[in-house]
Amino acid sequence: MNNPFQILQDKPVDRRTALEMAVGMLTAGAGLALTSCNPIASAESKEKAQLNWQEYFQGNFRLMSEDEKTTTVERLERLHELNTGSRINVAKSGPREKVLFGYAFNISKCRGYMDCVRACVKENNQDRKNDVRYIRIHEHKNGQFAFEEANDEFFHDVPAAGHFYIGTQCFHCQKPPCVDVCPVSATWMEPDGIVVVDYNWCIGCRYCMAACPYDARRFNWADPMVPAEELNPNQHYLGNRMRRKGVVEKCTFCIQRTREGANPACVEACPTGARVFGNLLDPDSEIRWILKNKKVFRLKEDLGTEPKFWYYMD
Amino acid sequence: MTALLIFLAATALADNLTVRPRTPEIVHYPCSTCHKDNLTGRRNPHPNIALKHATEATLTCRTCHGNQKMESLLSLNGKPIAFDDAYQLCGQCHSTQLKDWKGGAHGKRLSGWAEPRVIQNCTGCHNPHAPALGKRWPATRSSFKR
Repeated sequence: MNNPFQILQDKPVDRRTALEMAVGMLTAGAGLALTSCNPIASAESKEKAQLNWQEYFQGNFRLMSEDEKTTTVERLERLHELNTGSRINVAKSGPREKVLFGYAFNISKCRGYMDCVRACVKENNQDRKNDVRYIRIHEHKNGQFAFEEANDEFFHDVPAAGHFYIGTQCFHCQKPPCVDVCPVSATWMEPDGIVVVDYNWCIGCRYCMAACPYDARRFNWADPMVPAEELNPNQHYLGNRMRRKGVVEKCTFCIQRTREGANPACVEACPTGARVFGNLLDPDSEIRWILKNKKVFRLKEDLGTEPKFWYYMD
Repeated sequence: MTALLIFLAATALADNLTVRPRTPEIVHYPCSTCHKDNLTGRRNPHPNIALKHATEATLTCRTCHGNQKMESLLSLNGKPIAFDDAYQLCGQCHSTQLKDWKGGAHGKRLSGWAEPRVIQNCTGCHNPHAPALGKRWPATRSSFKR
């Protein structure tokens, strides 16, 4: 096994940083010592304390070797088992060759049924208590396209006469401003085009939320609450694994599903076929056909963020 | 689930692109279980099915079903079309939708984005006898707290 502290150890350390680290380690270590050196503490609580300690010092996921990634996800699985008694499966699968994900949304077809939102919340283990959602569906009057005028709080029979619906979520920009502003490189774009967050590396400064022109990111003001029976155990390190209080999360195009060849949960749940997902590098894919044959547009194109999320009409 | 869909998908539209078949969904298929002979007379053998599709001048039961060879649908000039190829029947009038559906802008993709892909038949979403999607209550409230 590689040393999980490798990244820390490789970093050139001056005297000041070394002192700061020593103080930090002492403080954290005191807690560990209380548990792990306690003769009456159970083996499980000792293991838990040890795993928590290791997790505290783990590196940035992007810089981890394969072995370190394996250790990291196994640690997450074990910690979850120790905490709840149930098993989860945390994947760490990487991007496929020659794949760049893109998304298309048919505004003629969306009818505001909201099945996508419900599926997304369930799939991605989003905080039920604070109603965290990645997708928003906006109800516009026909002929009106100002988002300030849209109704984001409709709760009536849909589709309402004289209205149309448009969904927004993370657009996985090819030039993502949220990534540029992150001071700790906790968020980045994967080679297959998915913009992801390492929830362990995020410090919760929310610069990315300020930088995103599309309001795609969500902040965990509290520890997310998901009922045990509703927890989706099929998780990905960069996707729907449980977040902590104080970190930012967002749509990951359901990385835990799409890296396995499936469609995102919103696409699968949509009863009208308004949502299309595919590989932009495959000339035979549905998304490429739409880009070629339909009139498409993106939101705030003038910002140059190059979203990989297009809207089209019948 | 994916494996099941691929297994069920019989009709190939292109390489690595198949259409989900219709016949396993039809409860009383094959029709010859009941309809041994050609249909005679004008009485509707399925009075529970109300046709809400185009106008009576354009479309009646027989426009699509005919009155003989009940195992298949009928094209506008009387050629048989298998139930599994229902999209060919629908596409006679809805040619724009058929084009969009083949390309990927209309209809629903079932198995995932990676090949082999399976796409939903027209009849998977639309009831052919009343094809319009209705109004309903949304699955969840639209508002969200920041």
